[in-house]
Amino acid sequence: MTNNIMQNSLIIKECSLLITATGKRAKNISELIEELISVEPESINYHFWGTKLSPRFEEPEYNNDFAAWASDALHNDTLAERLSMINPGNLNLEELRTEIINTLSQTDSALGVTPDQQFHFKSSRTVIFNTGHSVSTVQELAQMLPELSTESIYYHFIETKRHAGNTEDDIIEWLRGFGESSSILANTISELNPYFDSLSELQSKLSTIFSEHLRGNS
Amino acid sequence: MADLLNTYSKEAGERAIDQVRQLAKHLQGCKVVHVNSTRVGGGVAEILMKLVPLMNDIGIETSWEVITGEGKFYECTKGFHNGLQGNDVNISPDLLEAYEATNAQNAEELRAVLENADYVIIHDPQPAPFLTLCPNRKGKWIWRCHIDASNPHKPVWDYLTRYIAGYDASIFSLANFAKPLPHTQYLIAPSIDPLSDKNIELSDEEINSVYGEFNIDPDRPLMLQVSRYDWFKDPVGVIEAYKLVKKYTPSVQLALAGGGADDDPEGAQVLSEVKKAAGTDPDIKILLLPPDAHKTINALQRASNIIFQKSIKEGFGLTVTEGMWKQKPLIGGNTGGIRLQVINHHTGFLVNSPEGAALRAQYLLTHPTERKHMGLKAKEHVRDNFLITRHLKDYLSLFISVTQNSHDLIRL
Repeated sequence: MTNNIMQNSLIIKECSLLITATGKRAKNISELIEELISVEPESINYHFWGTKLSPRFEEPEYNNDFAAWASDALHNDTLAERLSMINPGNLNLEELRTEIINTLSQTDSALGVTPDQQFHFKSSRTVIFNTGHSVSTVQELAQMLPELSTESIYYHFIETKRHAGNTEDDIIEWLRGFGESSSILANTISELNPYFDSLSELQSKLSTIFSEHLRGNS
Repeated sequence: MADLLNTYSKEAGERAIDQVRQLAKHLQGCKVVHVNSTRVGGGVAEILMKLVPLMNDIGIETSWEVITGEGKFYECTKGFHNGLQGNDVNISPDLLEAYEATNAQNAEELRAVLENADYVIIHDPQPAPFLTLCPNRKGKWIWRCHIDASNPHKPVWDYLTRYIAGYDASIFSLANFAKPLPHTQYLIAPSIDPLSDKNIELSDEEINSVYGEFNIDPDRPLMLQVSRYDWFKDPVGVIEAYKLVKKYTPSVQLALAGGGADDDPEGAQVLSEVKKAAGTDPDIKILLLPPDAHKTINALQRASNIIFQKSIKEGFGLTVTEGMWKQKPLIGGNTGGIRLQVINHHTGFLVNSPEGAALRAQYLLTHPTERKHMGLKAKEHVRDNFLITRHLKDYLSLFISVTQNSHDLIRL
């Protein structure tokens, strides 16, 4: 059980992502693979998930930084598409690292980029803090969902799941404590794949799911 | 508490304000000192102008100190600036001597406040030696680099590293600016203040006033670049682009609006070259504005149809952020922080040459619907990512992070 659930109340949290430079960089696929082998796991997490919180345009063409680099810098859209379809949802970070390396290894590694187009491995530190709010019922959470920040959505639906070993996020864990009816809701939410949605889209889908569940139960 | 912070709720959103409030609870009573080299002119001073009062407003005792020197000090630090941006500069021993002596003198005057602070943020190379000159410091010291240091002139970087390496952390705007240093390098983008004179909404009367003031025809399209007269901003390249556009849109006008910063001795030389390139074309307005002409710049940006920032090297490019905040699509040089802000076909265009700038300008001039649509997207991109409330949140998070040993997750 996460420390966000206390006596059936779910403590709503926020997070602030601090991005850091690792100093590792690559100008072609061979170097990318070489650095990927040893880069800290948090860097891989950042380039797949953390970019959802970073300054970026809401509608990126590809879902992770490796895919975006393959397209923008290497001009290899085939590789970009393949990298974009790696689903990190059920992989731990080491499995994800292996999957990325395997995909890259199947590509011609000769092409390089100019120094200012190199791939820069970044990492992150996440500061998690209270909002001052908690919810005790499904209705309360349904009402609060549209008002949450995208950082809060990221924390509860992505970060807590990762720290639980990719099993369940803390919202699902909390819902299961309310019995069968909420377990159905929890199952519906667990079928969402946040990887392909922006945080705003994820928030909107969650609000809809909660609203429909409550209408069905009333 | 946080009356000033509350004034940002309309522009930044209540959620952003709440985040700052919650983080600030963990830093109440902390003492913070920012040190830079000028109170007027340039992006750093503009950020600190509001960041410092905001930090005080949320219960963090914050002060802003400025290192002051004479001609040789500024000549030296301009050399550092150019060298960090890749120019092959040769800084003579007497300039380095002036740099070190100026730092020693200023550090002596500021020692008490610096050594007593919980967090000291030293901005750019000018005051970098302060760390080594304050051996009895009690807090965490952070070096903030606003410059594109992706490919520095090695002797300059090697010289400065002796002062920078000892910091507890450093901040760069982009990953490719970061350098190998024996401490954590945070990546934090700068920001604009939406409520400053530079960015606040203006009345039609205020916007229209620039037409008469600068002899601009309000019935003809206007292109604008706002920047110091500096080689890296490529103002001559902007004039070349204008001349190409003029062949297809003869009615177009160009305004170059700039001024000096107290710490930039090269400006006069660049201005002279710009005037030469402009020749006698009455449709090119070269404006030399005082450093506090924020409302005038605001009005010029709002009066323009297209805004350029055709830099060939750029740390971040806050003039891009400003222009986008005014719902103008930006034509930006494909470099540095401009790439983070200008998303091709969405918030503007990245260009690599005067011809590229002309091409995109011509497109935007002849497609007003697309221009308006891109301008709206540009403003929202700034709202989501580059406002001072986000920047404040990042600083608060960083203060917490530098005092914790946790590598990836910090639970408050």
